Formats: sequence, C-alpha cells, structure tokens
Amino acid sequence: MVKLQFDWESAGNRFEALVNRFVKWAFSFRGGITLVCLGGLLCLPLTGREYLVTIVITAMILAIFAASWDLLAGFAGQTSFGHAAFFGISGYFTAALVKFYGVHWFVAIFIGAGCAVIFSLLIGIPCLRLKGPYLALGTLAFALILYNLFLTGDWLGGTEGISALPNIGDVFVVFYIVAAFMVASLIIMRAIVDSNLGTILKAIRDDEVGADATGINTTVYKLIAFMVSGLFAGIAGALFVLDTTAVNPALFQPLYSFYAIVMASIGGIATIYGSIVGAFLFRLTGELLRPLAAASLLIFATILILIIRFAEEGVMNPVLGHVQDLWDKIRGR
Amino acid sequence: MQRKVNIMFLEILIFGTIRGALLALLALGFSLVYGVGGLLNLAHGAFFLITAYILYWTIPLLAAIPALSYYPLLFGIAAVISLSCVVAIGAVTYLGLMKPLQKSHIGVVIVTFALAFFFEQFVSFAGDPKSHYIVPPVPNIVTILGVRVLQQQLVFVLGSVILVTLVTLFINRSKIGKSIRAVSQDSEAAKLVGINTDRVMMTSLMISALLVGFAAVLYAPGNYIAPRIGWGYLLLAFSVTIFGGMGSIPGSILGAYVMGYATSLTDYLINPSFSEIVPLIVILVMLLLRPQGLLGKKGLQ
Amino acid sequence: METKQIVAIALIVIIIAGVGVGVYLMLPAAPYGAIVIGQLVTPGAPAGTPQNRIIVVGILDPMTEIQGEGAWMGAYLACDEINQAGGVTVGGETYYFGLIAEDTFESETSLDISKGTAAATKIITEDGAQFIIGGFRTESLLAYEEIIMDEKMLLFGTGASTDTFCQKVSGGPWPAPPGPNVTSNYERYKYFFRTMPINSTSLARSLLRYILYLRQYMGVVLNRTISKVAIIREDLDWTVGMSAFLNGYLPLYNLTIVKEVAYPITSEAAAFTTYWQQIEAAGAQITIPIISAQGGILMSTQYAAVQPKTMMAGIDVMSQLDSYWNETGGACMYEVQLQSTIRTNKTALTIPFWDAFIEKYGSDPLYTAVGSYDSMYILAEGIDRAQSFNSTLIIPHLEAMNTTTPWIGAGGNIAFTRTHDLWEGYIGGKIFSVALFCQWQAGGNKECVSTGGLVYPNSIVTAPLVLPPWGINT
Repeated sequence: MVKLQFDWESAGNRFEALVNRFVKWAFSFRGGITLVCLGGLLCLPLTGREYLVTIVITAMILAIFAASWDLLAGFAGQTSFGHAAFFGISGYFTAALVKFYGVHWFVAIFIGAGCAVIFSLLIGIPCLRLKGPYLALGTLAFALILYNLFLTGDWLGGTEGISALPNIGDVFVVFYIVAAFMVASLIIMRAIVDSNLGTILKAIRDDEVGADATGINTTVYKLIAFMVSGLFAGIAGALFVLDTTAVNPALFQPLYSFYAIVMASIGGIATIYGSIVGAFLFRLTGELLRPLAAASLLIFATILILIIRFAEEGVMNPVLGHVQDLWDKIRGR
Repeated sequence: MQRKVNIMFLEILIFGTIRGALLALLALGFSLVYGVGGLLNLAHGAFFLITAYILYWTIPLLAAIPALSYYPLLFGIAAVISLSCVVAIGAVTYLGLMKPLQKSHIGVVIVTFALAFFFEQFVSFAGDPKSHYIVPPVPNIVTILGVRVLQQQLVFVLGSVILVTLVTLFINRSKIGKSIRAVSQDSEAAKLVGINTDRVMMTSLMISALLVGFAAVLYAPGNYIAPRIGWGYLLLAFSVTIFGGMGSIPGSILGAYVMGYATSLTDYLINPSFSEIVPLIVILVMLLLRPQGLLGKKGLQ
Repeated sequence: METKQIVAIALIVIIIAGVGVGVYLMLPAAPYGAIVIGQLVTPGAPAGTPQNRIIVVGILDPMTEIQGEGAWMGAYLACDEINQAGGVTVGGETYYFGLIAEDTFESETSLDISKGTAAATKIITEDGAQFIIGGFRTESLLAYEEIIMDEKMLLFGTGASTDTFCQKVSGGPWPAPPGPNVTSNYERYKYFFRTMPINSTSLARSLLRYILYLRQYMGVVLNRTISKVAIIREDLDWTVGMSAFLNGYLPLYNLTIVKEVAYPITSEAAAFTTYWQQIEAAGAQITIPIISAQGGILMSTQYAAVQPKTMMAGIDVMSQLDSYWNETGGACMYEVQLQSTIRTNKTALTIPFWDAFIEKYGSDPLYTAVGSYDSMYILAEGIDRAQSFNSTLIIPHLEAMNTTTPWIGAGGNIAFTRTHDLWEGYIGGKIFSVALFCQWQAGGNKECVSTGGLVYPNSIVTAPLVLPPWGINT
C-alpha cells in the first residue's frame, strides 16, 4: 500500500510538471500563436462552407505527407524524390481493404500505413549506400516503377484504379477526423525529432562518416528514419484516398513527390511544423487562383518561384520571427 | 527470314544510334552542370521545351517575310533565334535563381523544378495545351539498306556528333575549358588561383542549355511538341548521367549510347511498352551495383 | 528573410497585379462565349433577371482543354438560344438558364483527382449549381461523380465513353444485367445520363461494321480479295478492350490481323516510320488506328511519308479537330476516322446547329460541344415536362426519351437505354446516336463517307470514299 501511494505521488508530480510545461508553452509566443491557429482551424466547419472545408482537408492531409518527407530529408538527410511511392501504396491497400474486404476505415488506415512501412524498408535497404542525387534518382525510379506496375497491371483496377469507396461520414466529420490525425502525427513526429533518436538522425545528416566513427549503427537508424517517414506518408495516403473516395496509379507520379518537397521547403526544411504552413499556402493559393482560368497555374508557378527564391529557410520561421518582433514592439519591450 | 533478321538488326543499330545521339546531347549538359557546381538543374527538360516552342512560334512569324520562302533557310534562322534565346534563359536562370541559392543544394533543385513547372504553364498559356507538330526542314525518307529512316534524323545524328565533339574539345583544350575543369575538381582552390567561379558556372549552364536546345532544334521537328514533354527529357538526362557517372563527360557520352542501344534492343526484341521501364531498371541496377556510374569519379575528366 | 527581400517580393507581386489589371482593362470586349471560371453568365436572358429566376447549370470539365472549351461553347450557345426563346416556364413563372464553369484539371498528365473533387464541391456548394454537365477523364469522373450523386443532382456526361458509368446505373425499373465487377446501384447513380459519346462497346461495334463494309467496297473497286488487316493502337487500357473485340470478331469474317502494333504513348516519329514499314511488310490492306493522343499526328505524317499500300480507317481523336489538316500539313488526307458529328443531316437540327456554331465561334464543334448543347435542351425539356427543378422528379421524363419517342437533338435522335446510356443505331430514316465515318479529302475538307447502311443510312453521306493513289497491297 505504501508502494501504491509512492507511485501515485511521483506520477502526480510528473503530470504536474507536464502541465506546467504546457502552460508555459501556451503563454509563450509560439505556443500562443499555435493555439490560436488551431482554435481557428477547428472552428472552420462551423462556417458551414463545404468547399472551404474540402480544400482544408486536402491541405491537412498534404501537411502530414510533407512533414513525413521533412523528417526523412530535413532531419535524417535522406532527400527522397519518390515519396509518392509510400503515399500510393498505402492508398491502394487502404482502398482495397475498405472496398473489397469491408474493413473499417480506421483499421484500414493503419494496415495501409503498415504496408507503406514495409515498402519503405524495401526501398530503403537498396538506397542505403546512395547519397545526394543518386539517392534522389533511386527513390524516383522506385516510385516510377510502381507507377508503371499499377498502370499496366489489371489486378488493382489498372488505369481506372479503385473507385466508389464508401464515405466515412459527411464532410464536417471527416474534417475533424483528419484534423485529429494531423495534430497527432505532427506532434509525434516533432517528439521523435526532439528525442534522442532525432539527435542521432541529425548527426547522421550532418556527418555520416563521423557518426559512423562514433559507433552509431547508421544503417539501422537510416532505416528507422525511412520506416517512420513511410508510416506517416502512408497515413497521409490512406486519408487522401478515403477523402477523395478513389485511388488510381496517378498517386505514384513524381507530381505528388514534388508536392511534398515543395510544401516542406516553403514551410521550412527541418521544422516539421513548417509543413503545415507550406501545405496550406500551397493548396489555398492554388484554389484561390481558380477564377483566373488558364492563367491560374502560370501565376501559381510564378509565386512558387518567388517564394522559393526569396525564402531560403522557408516561410514559417522568418515570418514568425518578424511577427514576434512586431508583437514585442507593440508590447513595448 | 534471314533478310528479315538482318533488317531488324540494322534497324536496332540505326535507331539505337539516333537515340544515343539524343541522350548524349541531353546528358552531357546535365552532367557538366553537376560536375562543375554540384547543381542539379531540374529545368533541363524545360530548356528543351522552351527551345522547341520558340522555334514553333518563330517559324510562322518568319514565314511572313517574303524573302525567306526557302524553308530550310527560314528554319535555320528560327533555329538560331531559339538557340540564342535558350542560352540567354540559361544565363538568366543561373544569375537569378541558381547563384543566390547555391549554398543549399536542395534549394537549387526545388527552384529549378518550379522553373520547369513555370515554363510548362507558360507555354500552355501563351500557346495552348494541345500537341503540335513542327515541319522538319528535311522531310524526306531515305532508305538505308532496306531500312527507311527520316532524313531529318540522320541530320540530327550528324549534328549531335559534331556538337558533342566540339564541346568535348572545347572543355579539354580551351582556356575556358581548363577553368571549367579546375572549378569542377576543387572550386575553392580555383578561386584562390583567381578563377571567377561564378562566370565558370554560368558558362557551363549556358553550354548545357545550348546542347539541350540543339537537341530540341533538330529532334523536335517531325515529332510532336506539347507542354509536358520537358519532364520526359529531364528524366532521360538524369538517368543517363547517373548511369554514366555524374560529372564525367566520357561517361555521359558512353552511357548515352549504351542506353540508346539497350532501349532499341528492348523495343525490337521484347516489347516497345518496356522502353519506358528500361531506363528505370538500368538506373536501379546501376545504383545498386555501382553507384558512381560507369566512369564516375570526382571532378570532370 | 530580410526586409529588403520582403519588399522585393511585394513589389514584384504588385507589378504583376498591375500589369494584369491593365491588360484586363485594355482587352477588347470578350468574344462570344468566352470562358469564365466561377462566375455565373446568363446569355440571352433579359437584363436584371432576379437570382431566384435563374436555373444554374454547372459545367465541370478541364476548362483549359478543348474538351472543356467545347462543352462550355455548346452549352453557351444552347443557353443563349433557349433564353432568347423565352426560357422555361414552371408553375406559371418564367425561368432563364445561367451557366457557371469550374475547372477539374483532369486532363493534366500529372493527374490530381483532389482538384476535381474540390471543383465539384465548389460548383455545388459555392456556385449554387442545380444541374451538372461535363465529365471527361474516367479516373477523375469516377471520383467527383460520387459528390454529385450524393447531392442527388442530374449529371449529363458529355465526354466519357467508358462503359462503367452506365453499368452502375443498372438495376432500375427494368433490371438489366450489370457489367462484371461493377457494383450497380440504380437508386444512387440514376442521376447520370450519358449524352455523348456513345459508349466504348458501341464504338467498337460501329468500327467493326465499317471495316466489314470497307473490305467489301475495296474488294469490288479493286477487284481483289481483301483479307489482311493491321491494328495500330496506343498502349492504354481503353484500346485493349477494343483490340480484344476486333481480334475476336474479325477472323469470323475471314479477315486476318496480320500485324498489331501497341505503341507506348511516348513513341516518337522514328518509331512510326518503323511501324508503317512493318505494317507494309506484313501486307496489310486495311489499317485500323485506335488512338486518342498525339500519336495520331505522328502516325498521319509518317503515313504520308512512308506511303504504305494500305487504307487507314479507325479512331484518331486528334484528327477530329478542324486544325488537324494544317497541323499535319495535309498528311492526313485519305484518313477515315470516327467522329460524332459533321455537317450533315443526322437530324433536321444538325446543320442549323453546325452553322450557328461556326458563325459564333469560327470553328467546328467538338463532340463535347454537341453533347452539352443537346444536354441543355434535354434538361430544359425535362424541367418543362416535370414542371419542377427537382432532379429526382425529372428523371422519369428523361427515361421516357426512348426509341419510340426519342428526343430530337443536334447530334442525332437521342434515346436513353435502361441504363441511361445512348441508344446507337438507326430505325428507318431516323438516325440515333451513331458515330460518323469521315474522310479527310483534298483541300482540307472532311466528308462523311458511306458505310453501306451498316452504321447509318446513305442519306447523310456527303462524298464518296477516295482510296490512296499509291495503291493497296494485294
């Protein structure tokens, strides 16, 4: 009985410490802004505008995808050009499970992501020796091969893919589900990156030979990075497919891989949270430019070039920095 | 039957050579830019695209000039105009986009990707998204030992060989070429010796644009052009460069012809549908067995 | 980012915006039927018509591509005509049509179906569309169709020929067997009506019938037996089915397929020179192309260069465009290809429609234009008969447009089958939704050629078939 009390107390202390940390963070500048934005996001469905909700859902899914790439490339230094492979594999398996085997979507998401993890190993192992452009091309080649495979094979729908997946629920329900996944995924990824594992990955990124020399098993850690990245990319892929209720080989295209890269870069490489900014900017700008018809994509491309050219560290950190300065000035510090 | 087999091998040889010539032009420039500055220029395919479209747009404009009724002459002038344009675009790309970002390799990759995307949309907007056809200056078909080939393609092979040889000689013999090789081996040391590394990199990008523009000028006529063709050529350039060894000029050329014949062989002996996958599989095998490519080493050779 | 960089970006954006506004203001008045995205237009309706008297029809298509442009132009013309004729009267009140378009970006090579679903959601929830016309690329339409079916809104398909879309409708009041591996759900998918083009199976059958006629014709004219056929097709899903169909049926009529080329869509000119050589070497007398993409241009130009002794008749979607003659420099001469409409009397409305279209737009209507034009009129008729805007109530009236009481459209008499597909064929002199076989002839003229009555009656033929002067293989 004494032991139980002791456990309660230390657990209680730890919980209190955690709560204190959280409160302190919430009142800090970054924490405050994050909570305000999160609150705004969660209130979005209350406006009742389905169109807005739809595009924000897609933006959130792409945020998870971009963050998964950021983890692999920004933190572990493995710049992959074929991230769409994980996206698509998970999408296909999720779709097949939901449509043909009647699996509940929640379970299907994780099984799909699990398949993505397996593929991340399959792709990661051969790519261990590769660096820089070689790694980039190798991963791209894998994604393209998967693309051609699914395109020519009849077994999962061929070019038409699988369609008419059952709806999870109405748009607003889907919104909250996806939002929950996004918040959870990003917090977990950030936690991983801030942990010891993250430090090791950063060491490998900065100086692989050196890390190897200090006895770190770079092979294992690189593969772990691939697997974690693959898991979250898989979750994003599964959600994407469930949201659009269809999957087709187009998901393996280099276009999606580049979505991830561009969004992560705009937001800020090696930030994880920057991916949210990047994904939202990317998606919302694309949609806002719709009325311009033929010129919309052209202007979008121009804006993209400008942002990338001028925002070397992404948009999130510098902008937050400036806003924080402004805030401090307002408060008279 | 024997004759049929003979013809088939001849076809494989001829079309393999044509393909190799194309790949050589595409890969040489790409490899050069990487070898010199470590920069991956993802707008490489877009240079091909924009050259082809400028050609396509200039020809009807020039046709309005009555003095230029002789089509090959008209074509030649249009070709010179489009080549100058793409070289200028190359220079501007370097100065405006690549130089400021050169510290971050991923930054260069992404900005050139965005540029390629921009060119695709530009061409689609300024023209239209449909596929088009440029009438070749030498439209006839010649028969070589029973195989019918477009005369245009033979001119192309000739042109490719000449240009590739010229560029290789230029890099190996000329003073600027020496600077290029110096920078590719050790850019810090080159700076210490007083070489303007910026200008060297810009020159190599311009040479790269010239090579790929030349490919467009001679290869695109007789073929269709569409806003999206840039990506396919980029992937080819990338693949051959990796295969031959990034930064190695002989490697790129050798790799180009090897890939050309390999594709041709698959086309005729197996199935044309596989010719898409062949480059990919070749790359993967290469990366697994010998990541540095056929002749890859540090610096340019 | 430093401050001066932020200033730089801001300046650049302002300059671009300024130039954009300047160009916009100085642009000449927009031509008739210019495409606007996301804005309601009401051509032909009296100025000042209140919002609640406008029936909003949404156009969902790749609006920057010819298919989307065509759908818009056809619907615009129909809208204009219907409104000027007084609109539609429901419950004693007059209503006018309005059009609004959203781009689904479904023609991009790098397909992103989430853009299509976003467009569908926007057009329904933000733009207030009550009925939808459009659809083109199967993969994308399969996805955004679901959103429209959720809303129980009529969807007139004007661009997709895949059988799946109508197979899903089966199981209705007159149950018909659904296709294999297709979940049919009449109650859900009954809002889909295909108005263009005829489905893939019918296309294949029409093609087969034409080839049979052609072989007979050539046999008589050239006084020899025609038995050798070649197929040249792009290596995509949709051609596999057609090829299998032809491979199955042609031998039954003593036609041997001596060469079949399935080329990857990235094939280039050199490859086509070889393909034609191979086809020539195999001795083919009729070559059937099954092509939708740019391979058509290369095929035609190489045909004219290599001059193989074979007649070309089949599906080449690009050659449907009136600009194809100039594109290929006249190399497409003698090519016979399938298209939905040409300037001939499919019905009494076809030629007036064709002429009106050319007068307003200066170019030939594409099949999506014909489809959307007819869809608008069918919709107006349906609303009129049902005296309601409720899609569910309109459906039985559309289903009543059958072979006995068809709807007279510009693209033919329109009769819907039990699965809301187009009925193909002709009864007596009444021509339903048939594909026309047209040949490019001297001077850049496209003529409708005879099918010996196998596909359509000779009454709509505009010129006799011309065989290539360099001869046909024996």
